[in-house]
Amino acid sequence: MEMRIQIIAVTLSLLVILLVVSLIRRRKLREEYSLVWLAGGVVLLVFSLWRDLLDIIARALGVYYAPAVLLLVTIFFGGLSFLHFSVVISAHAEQNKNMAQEIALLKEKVRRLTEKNSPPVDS
Amino acid sequence: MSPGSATLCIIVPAFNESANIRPVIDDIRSHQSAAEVVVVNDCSTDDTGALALAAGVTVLGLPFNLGIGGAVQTGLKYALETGTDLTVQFDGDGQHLAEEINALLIPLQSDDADVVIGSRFGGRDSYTPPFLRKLGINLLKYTNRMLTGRTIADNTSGFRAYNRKALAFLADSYPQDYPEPQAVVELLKNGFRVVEVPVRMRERSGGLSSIGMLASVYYMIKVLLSNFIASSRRPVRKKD
Repeated sequence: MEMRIQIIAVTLSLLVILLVVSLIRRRKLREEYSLVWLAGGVVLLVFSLWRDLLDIIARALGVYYAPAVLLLVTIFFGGLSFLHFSVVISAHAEQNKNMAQEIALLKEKVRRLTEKNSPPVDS
Repeated sequence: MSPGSATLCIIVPAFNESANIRPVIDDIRSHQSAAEVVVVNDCSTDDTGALALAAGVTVLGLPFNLGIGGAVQTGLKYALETGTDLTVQFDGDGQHLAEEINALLIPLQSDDADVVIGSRFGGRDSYTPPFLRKLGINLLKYTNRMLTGRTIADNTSGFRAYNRKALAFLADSYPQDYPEPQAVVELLKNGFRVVEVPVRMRERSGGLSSIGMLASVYYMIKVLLSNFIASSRRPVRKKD
């Protein structure tokens, strides 16, 4: 009984890690954003392999119901990831804005150059 | 610098102002014929850009809508590149009067200020805003005074003039969503001399404010937050 759930847990953890690695290999995920997911997969794997770890941590923290620790950690890292994404999006918004402004300046320069090089023909 | 020889760049941010842009350009030209007028077309869905182009002014067309902060900053970046001495920021909706531009330039030309804000308050026909707006304007006035130690009566006015030093600073970093009050805080925190000059402004012809009730609450919260944070930042400059 206990063995079965452990096998499932280990398999799932490995799948998460494999999925992340495969996403990086196919260039769907950049390395810089993959670290947090890889770390998550590794943590899952460690917990599935070393089942007593959860109990040890729970006891050290004074938590009676060990799985609550898992939940807490998950929520904490989930929240942290969202914050990280907001930071990334903000950086992109700033770059996007700068790029739009640069385009506007360049468009005007191009318009002037084209006008200078090919003056409108008056018949 | 002597008043006549300074070059002047007038930045006009415009979003869907096809009804106003031509009169605004003509107004500016009739009072500041030597100035370069730069219309920043914030990806209007009407023919604001074409009308400005047809009027023969410089038009900076943004590929997508950035909002007033991003649009103004585009103009500031352009002005900085052209090497202009003085820069004026002038709304494209017709609420500012070109005849008042000279009043904004005087403190810059005498080097008594780096930034001049055209204020709706303190003048002869001073503006009396409706109650809630007055509340918001005063809240900004007092929090900004608390944060910077200086009193600026009209923090939301978008009628402003800059010398080259202030232009370089703002072109590099200009606040985005509701930029005017935060720009004041950042300028003061960075040691720029900000002066207010009373000017007359046209009442908005539409009658309604551009911001609705719920948006006003969001506006105030957002602006207050940005101002508090902006004032907690370390000055980036200080090399006089």
